[in-house]
Amino acid sequence: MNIIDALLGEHGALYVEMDRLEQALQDAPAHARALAAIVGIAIDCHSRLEDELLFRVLARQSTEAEGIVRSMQRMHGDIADALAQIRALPGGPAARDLALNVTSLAREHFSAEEELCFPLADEVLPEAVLSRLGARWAERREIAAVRTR
Amino acid sequence: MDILNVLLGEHGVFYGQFEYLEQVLPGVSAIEEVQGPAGLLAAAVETHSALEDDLLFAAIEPHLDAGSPDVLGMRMMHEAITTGFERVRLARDLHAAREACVGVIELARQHFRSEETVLFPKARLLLAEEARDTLGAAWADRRGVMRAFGMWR
Repeated sequence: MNIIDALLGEHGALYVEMDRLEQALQDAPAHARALAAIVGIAIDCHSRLEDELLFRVLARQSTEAEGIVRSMQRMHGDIADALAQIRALPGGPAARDLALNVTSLAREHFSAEEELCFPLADEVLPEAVLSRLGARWAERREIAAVRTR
Repeated sequence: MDILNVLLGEHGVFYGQFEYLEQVLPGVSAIEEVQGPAGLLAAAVETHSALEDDLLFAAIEPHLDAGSPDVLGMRMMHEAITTGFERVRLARDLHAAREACVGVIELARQHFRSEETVLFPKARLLLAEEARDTLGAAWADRRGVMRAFGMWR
């Protein structure tokens, strides 16, 4: 399977969770840390998979690709830093505001990937490479059975 | 984009979150810290089920024999998962919420495994690549993926 499809699938699930997180944070700011943690763990893992699988290969393709990957990795770092700050708080308004900042950063980042990074990867990486990376993604995510198309 | 691949992508996110919840649930001390995170997960898993029902299952049903258990069983599991999340939401004490949460995670995991090993491979054979891509575009529209930039896949 193509890794770009899998990563877009992850975005789809995360978009709806971020929508719901924003609502829940308004209703229950005291539990902001627990609410943010379940989405944060998924965003962190998604970033790691992108860094270790797709971005590492994509960055080697051209100077342009390397620049885009660096920019995406900076965004991963900003999101990870904000999530770490939430984990250090007991909850409450400060954690809620940071969590809202994370959803905003993550949406902006996903949009940038969908607009720039993934189309570039689709263009410059051969289908066989994208499929091989997809198989590694499936292994890391413990998906039971995957066939290439 | 292939509908089967993006749905597997969603499974990948959920598996990581199931594992995380299973790790933290024993140490949770407030019912809200079970119901809140489970509610976020429910929103994503239940819309995932609805997307499968409306897009993938509706597309493969005409290719299967009338009354085929393949899709019927999966639809029943979707309903059972929804009921499971409802049980978490309606729990009155921490122990009941925790037990209900563990139960729905196990059920959802079992369901995803069934899809990955039985139904999705069958769907890959029944639906042509072009049909799977068309369904993938409908999935992207419903999920708001790539909405701002048009479809490039």
